[in-house]
Amino acid sequence: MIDKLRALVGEVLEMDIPPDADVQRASTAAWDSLNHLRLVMTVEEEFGVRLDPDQVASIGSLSDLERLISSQTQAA
Amino acid sequence: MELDDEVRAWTGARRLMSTLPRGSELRRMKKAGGGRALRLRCDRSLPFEFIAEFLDPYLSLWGARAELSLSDYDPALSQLGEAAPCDVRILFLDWRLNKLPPAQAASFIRERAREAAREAPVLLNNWPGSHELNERLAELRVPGLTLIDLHALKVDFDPRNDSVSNFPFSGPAAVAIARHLALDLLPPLAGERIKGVILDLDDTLWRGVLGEEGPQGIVIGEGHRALSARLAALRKRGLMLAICSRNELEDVRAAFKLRSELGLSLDDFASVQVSWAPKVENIGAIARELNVHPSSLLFVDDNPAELAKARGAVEGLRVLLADPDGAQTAAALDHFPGIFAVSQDAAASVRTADVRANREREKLREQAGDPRAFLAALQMEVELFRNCAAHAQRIHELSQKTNQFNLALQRLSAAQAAEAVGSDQVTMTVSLRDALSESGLIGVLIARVEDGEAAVREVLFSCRVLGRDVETLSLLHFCKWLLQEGARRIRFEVAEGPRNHPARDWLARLLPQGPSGELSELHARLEERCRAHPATVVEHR
Repeated sequence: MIDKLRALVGEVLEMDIPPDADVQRASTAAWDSLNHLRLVMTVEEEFGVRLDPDQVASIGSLSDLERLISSQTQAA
Repeated sequence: MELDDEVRAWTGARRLMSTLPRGSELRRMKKAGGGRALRLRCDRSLPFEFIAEFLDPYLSLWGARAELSLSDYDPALSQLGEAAPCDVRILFLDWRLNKLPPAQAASFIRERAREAAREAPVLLNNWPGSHELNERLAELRVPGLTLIDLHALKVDFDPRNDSVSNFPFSGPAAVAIARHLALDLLPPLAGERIKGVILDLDDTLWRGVLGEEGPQGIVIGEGHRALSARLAALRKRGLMLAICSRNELEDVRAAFKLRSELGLSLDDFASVQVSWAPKVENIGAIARELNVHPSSLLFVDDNPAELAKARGAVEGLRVLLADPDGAQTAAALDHFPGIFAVSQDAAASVRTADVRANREREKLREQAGDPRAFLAALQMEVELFRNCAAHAQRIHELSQKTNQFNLALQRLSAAQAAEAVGSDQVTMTVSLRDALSESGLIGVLIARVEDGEAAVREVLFSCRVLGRDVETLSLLHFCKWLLQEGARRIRFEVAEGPRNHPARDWLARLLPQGPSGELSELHARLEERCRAHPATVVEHR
């Protein structure tokens, strides 16, 4: 799952993400508010999950996103 | 391109037109790039980016790509006058931010839309569920303004997206809006127009092979009925339908007669080419019969090899790979670039009958022997209208659509057409009927008289009526009007386009020395030429 997520985040932010690297929203210029929503809509489509506004606001890194998707897919 | 690649491309195009893919799929496709640049300027109070990112995959289906410039977020649209030249302007507004009552809101946007439409055609969104506002916006009547009807698109709101990024719509709604813009609204504004749809029959309009299974054996399913209904609606709207099929004509007649559930009759088709000749030849015959350039024709066939041959042999022909069950073809037709009508077609009700009547006219021409006897047999009635405001939309339409008899290729915008009938210019619109059919408004002449010279900006006539010298007869009366306006000399603006040689050749025959001369001399020459023209002429001034 992490590999697919890493690829999706890389596609939306138009950057290469090395294996095992995390991506921090605060220090990534391409991760602006528009791309934040694009990222959310993309992972929702690809993983069949739905994030609520608080969860969306809490995403500060690739690893946060991974945790949220894991918890939703496991709960399902 | 190999046939397999073409089939993949055609199947992919049909799917994009007929279904709404996921945004992530479109995001991957957008990187293909290339094509004719369409300069879009968006003044907005909403994020347009979530829609813009999906435009290119759709635009690429008609060889275009977007070059977008965005204003800052500004509900007052104060940057409207600062935009660089563009092909289309988009006003994308969050109507929730506008606190004015609907009537005042409409009045606010009318002025801004008018200002924007001076430069380029304008698209303006309404708002889902805002009935009173939407009614006011639909009544704006600003020349050159077209609504992006978000209410009719049934786009859904997503409060989560709104709270995260002030984009109030869902992800699928963004895709639906992008498809509507890129496949429905932008093509006609950029000159992409389909005037006729040519249909194969077997495994396209029905399932099965008519020659083998007979009229009762072919299958007409739900998808085929949906396709027929779409085609009937297109015909009603003014598009011409044609059949290009390898079959026996008697079998085809029997199928249409016996299988009434098709919902179409052979009379609905302006041209019927059913024979065992190569389809490429039949498509050529259809283009000649409809008198339109093949680039305005869409050929729908289930056989990729036929589509490939036709594309290779007929320059500019548009193609759609048919789904043998009809449903995807029907849905794709709704969004094929150039099919959507941004305005009502004033000639819609008369076009198919008029083209069919041309066959009768050809028979009359052969029977009559000499040209004068032929024209007399037609019993033509020509009506000439001076600066008629009600004709502005038709002037715009003719200017955009006419390619062969279009002298200056001005391509007048709706705003410019309205100006032509409302200003001090001399604008003549010409309507025609004869014993065989009503042709409607088919000609336009526009001139400005200054310092004794009439500068003729445009002369254009629908190709449906050529061959009856109506254009020469109209020019005679137009010259009379210009003489009455005090003009002594006349000068025609002429543009050399790829297909307008019929108009240029006509003018060269009237003015062999060049596109200008003494007005009284041209008038006398025209009087001489038209002396025996048997049409009845009525002037409305």
